[in-house]
Amino acid sequence: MSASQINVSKPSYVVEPGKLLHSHPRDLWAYRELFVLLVKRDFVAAYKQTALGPFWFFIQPFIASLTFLIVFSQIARLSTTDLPPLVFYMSGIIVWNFFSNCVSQVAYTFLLNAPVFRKIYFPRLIMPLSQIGTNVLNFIPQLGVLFLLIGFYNLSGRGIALTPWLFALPLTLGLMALLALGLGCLIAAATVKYRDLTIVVGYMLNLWMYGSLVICPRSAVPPNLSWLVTLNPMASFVECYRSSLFGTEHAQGGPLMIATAITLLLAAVGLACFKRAERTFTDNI
Amino acid sequence: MPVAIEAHHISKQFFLGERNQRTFFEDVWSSTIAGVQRLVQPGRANLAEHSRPRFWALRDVSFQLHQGETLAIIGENGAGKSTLLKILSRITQPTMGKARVFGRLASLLEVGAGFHPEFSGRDNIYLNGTMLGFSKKEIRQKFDEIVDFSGLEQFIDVPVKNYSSGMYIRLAFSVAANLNPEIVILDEVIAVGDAAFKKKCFERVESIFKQGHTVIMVNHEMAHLRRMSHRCLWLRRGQVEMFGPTNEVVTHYEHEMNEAVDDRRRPAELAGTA
Repeated sequence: MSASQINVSKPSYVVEPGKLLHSHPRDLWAYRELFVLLVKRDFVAAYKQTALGPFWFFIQPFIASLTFLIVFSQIARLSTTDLPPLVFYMSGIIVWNFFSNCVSQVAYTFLLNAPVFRKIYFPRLIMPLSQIGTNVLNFIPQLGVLFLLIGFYNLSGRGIALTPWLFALPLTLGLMALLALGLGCLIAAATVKYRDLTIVVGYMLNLWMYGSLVICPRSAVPPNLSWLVTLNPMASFVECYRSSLFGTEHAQGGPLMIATAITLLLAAVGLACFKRAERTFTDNI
Repeated sequence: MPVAIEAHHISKQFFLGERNQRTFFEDVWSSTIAGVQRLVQPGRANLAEHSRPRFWALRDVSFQLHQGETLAIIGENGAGKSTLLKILSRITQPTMGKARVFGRLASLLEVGAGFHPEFSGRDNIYLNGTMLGFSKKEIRQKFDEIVDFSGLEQFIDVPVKNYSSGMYIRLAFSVAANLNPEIVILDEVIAVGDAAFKKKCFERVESIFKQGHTVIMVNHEMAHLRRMSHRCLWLRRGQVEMFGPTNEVVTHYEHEMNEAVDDRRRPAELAGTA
């Protein structure tokens, strides 16, 4: 675009108190290529200068699954429906990691990117969105390993049937991502004022996993705690995710509605707080 | 010539001192106290909020800049130069006032902001370019020019963490200056780099405004300013001291600076002769 093509009647942007164009949907679309580059950057950067590189995708869930196998299956004797415990834990762990990485990385948006945010303008929401994108990319090979594991079990004579509901998987993942985005943005906005919040979030996410049907199916939850699981949106999503994979459980309509409602509410609140924070944080952090 | 930037009465206020130094519980406690106070004495305003020290970094700054003009902003440290540049480049928002910007603006407020140390110069050109709001296609078209200008052909595939600070700035400047934004903002950045590259930068800035684009810069070398910029905005403690043709403003500014230096020197001389 040369100087002569500038629209002289309409400014490219207006700077005004309380009205920056930050993260307007149109702006986000204009910066879509930055989103793609950031996703690529973070996906690749995680494995630069590491000894095992992309093998980290698989090692971590394997070790965690083995730990769960010993603690929850062998010692605590918790049910894993008709699935082999390793498959049950592995499927839960990879999807929980996806969610919890999304939340904690989005929560760090302002703390980690402050130097860039203070020097270059672009819609700030691109950063959390790209974190979600990177985690989706990380999740795919892990899901591949899960399928390999299932294939291995099938070959060794223990049949695990996949359901035709597999197409519902992206939808469930999308809801989890939206929940993570909303929650992460809410925390990110709060970290502008309270920087240590991210540490608390780390602990909360660890605790939260145990109530999210990652280690046992809904049928193994003690009745006096079932209300907690019903109100926990992640429990419903994890159950829905596993039932769309294997069909040994059935997603419950009621809790799923509650979970979706909570997700939409949190996403709306989180994004609103994020928008507010991105206007003022350069003067605050 | 059509307008490039219109600034109307821009003011920016900062809070001084203990802001965001309190913990969550202290905040909850003090807002509870304030709530109780309001209940007991409804007429009284919140004292804590009003007694907070404030500071006007910019006060009622207005100017207009046309396309193809170069604006230099001068003033002593703390005059509000950087704050003004940040407001124009949408990094922070004004407390009052309004600015309208016509055309794409690329600001170079700090060397290599947005560079990722683990990635090569090549990757960082694309990353930085898209952050500045250009499309990949535009960057690809200008890629050779950018690399050529930076003089870093040999190192373009080396991770930028291995670059020297001089190489960093060369790459950063090349990206911002060669992508042809309609408006370029430069905050003292060209002051870095060796003499040869500095000369190249100045030539580049000149060719940018010869193409009809607009440049805003902060620079402390008055000789350069006289040569390179049309208009000059002199800020003093956040307020416009003078705005007009560069020669006129710089002459006044230098005059005043010399006087200030003389004032400081005089008592010392007196002490020396006594």
